[in-house]
Amino acid sequence: MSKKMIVLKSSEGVSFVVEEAVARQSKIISFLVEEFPDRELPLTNMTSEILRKTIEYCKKHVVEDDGGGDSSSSSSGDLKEWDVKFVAEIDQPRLMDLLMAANYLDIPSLLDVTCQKVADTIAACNDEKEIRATFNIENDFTEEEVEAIRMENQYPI
Amino acid sequence: MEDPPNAPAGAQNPSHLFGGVDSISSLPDEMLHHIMSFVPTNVAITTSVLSKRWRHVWCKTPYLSFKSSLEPIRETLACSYTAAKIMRFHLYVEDSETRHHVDSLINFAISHNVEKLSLVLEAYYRFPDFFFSNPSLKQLIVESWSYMRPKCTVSWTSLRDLSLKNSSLDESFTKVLSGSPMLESLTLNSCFLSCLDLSESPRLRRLDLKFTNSSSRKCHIVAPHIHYLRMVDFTHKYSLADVSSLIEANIETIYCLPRYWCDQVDPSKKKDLDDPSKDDCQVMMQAMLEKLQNVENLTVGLSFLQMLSIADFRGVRFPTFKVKTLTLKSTILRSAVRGTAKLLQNSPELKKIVFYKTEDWNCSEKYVNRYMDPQDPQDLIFPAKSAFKVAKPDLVASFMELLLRNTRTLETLVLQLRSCLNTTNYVEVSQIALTLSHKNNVSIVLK
Repeated sequence: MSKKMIVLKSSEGVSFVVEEAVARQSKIISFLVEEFPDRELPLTNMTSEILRKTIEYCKKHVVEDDGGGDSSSSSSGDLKEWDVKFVAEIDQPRLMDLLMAANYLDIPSLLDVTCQKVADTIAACNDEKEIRATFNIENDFTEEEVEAIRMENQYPI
Repeated sequence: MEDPPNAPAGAQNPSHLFGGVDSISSLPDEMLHHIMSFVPTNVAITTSVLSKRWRHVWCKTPYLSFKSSLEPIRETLACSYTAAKIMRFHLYVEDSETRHHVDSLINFAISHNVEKLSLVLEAYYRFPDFFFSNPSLKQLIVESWSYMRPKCTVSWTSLRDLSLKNSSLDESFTKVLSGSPMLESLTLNSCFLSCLDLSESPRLRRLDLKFTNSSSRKCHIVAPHIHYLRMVDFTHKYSLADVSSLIEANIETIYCLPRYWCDQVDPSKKKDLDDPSKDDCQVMMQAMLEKLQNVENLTVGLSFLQMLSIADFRGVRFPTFKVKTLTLKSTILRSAVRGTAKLLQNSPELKKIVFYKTEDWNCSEKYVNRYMDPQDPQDLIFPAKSAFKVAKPDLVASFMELLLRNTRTLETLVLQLRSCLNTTNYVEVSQIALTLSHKNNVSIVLK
């Protein structure tokens, strides 16, 4: 049985041939496919690497409709495990790119898992210095300003 | 100390290997709020000292989540929080907190038109009247050993989803129901209740009940509008009085009930239970089977299958079921065989079976087996003891045959054997599946 395929093109001009059902998890692509059927879709702000990762995620999450499909809670547990591994293997800068890709393509579940991972990273830091170091955030406050903010926010600092 | 950009701690971080770009700070506020929705708000507040970019980001996050130290939270919120609307507010309250502070924070959430409110209250808490009037509330989750017994009128006009755990309910629950006309989903987990009448909630489609045994009275469940029902740990004290619109049901676990029933009907204990009307388990099963007969999508667990085995042994009359998709969440055990076969024989419209291998701990096996016929050749095939770790191909074959033999209309059989299926037995099991698939004209999927 042949499945309908569509072509997605990365910022480097690399083409990815993807099953339509896989790509349609992106609400944007779903919309574009309706509007421009049989056209390759240029995703000019996504690198091949990030597009490949996004497709890998969508392939795993596509709802199988071939008789074997089953949405039992337990198999969604397996999927959660897979998600955790998927984001654990990605380094910080790429995770940010993937998060932005999820936002741009409007894939809510991928946005959730990437945001969750960033949130976990922030929560694992001992203090604001560690958060700054982890995400390369430059501190543009004076010491007095930081102190003033601390006074204002009595909880929990 | 101000943190220089190339602090030693940062230099050890692998992200510096990739150019050290601060991409998180360039995300729009909306995305940072999304990230903050996954951390407790005290962590979100910490970000206000990161840099000027982050100074006021948390103040507008529509997702708030707090645990303890309620007084400083209250002050910080009053001083800094500027969002007009709270999408989600989670509050965990420890024993030591004073009621005044809890009141004040719940009031804060309500005054910010909170949509999803979740409260975990360790201390006893008397819900104030203002709690029961909140037109923006869409989802409410309360976990508390407290009374949910409003004395005032309830006005939750947007509420769609209500979930209560450990709450004690009484007749005043009808006020909650009549004050929530949009209610679509109700979850009661270990709540004390003496009756549940949902006949005046026409939009209520989903009912999820997890019981406790604390109630000594019989509890009737009247839910004529629900389409979906999940019951966990039910006992003979509960009866489904009306579930006439039901199309999907999940009767998952009832741990010790099969064993309890076996004890009840054990002739050696000299209990005269020849009269079926005195056997409360039998009465319950008879009634439940009748109520489930129109369900099209049915999920059952091992203990329910064992209940069916005993029911069949006790001569309970099985109705004809309309089930089209049957999901069995179970291990392959002898005690479940008779009930499974009977269920299939009485399901003439069955199209699909999904077997999901579980790792159940089961205390009823040997009790149920006492009642099964030891002459039955099936007893020689199916194990009477706990779960196997690796699926023996001949056992899986017998199980598939059992399922196929007892149904004529089946189109698809899905076996999720998970860890029981490994590289050593996969080839053999899939070969068996292929042979049976051709022989019975049923599509068999191994997972």
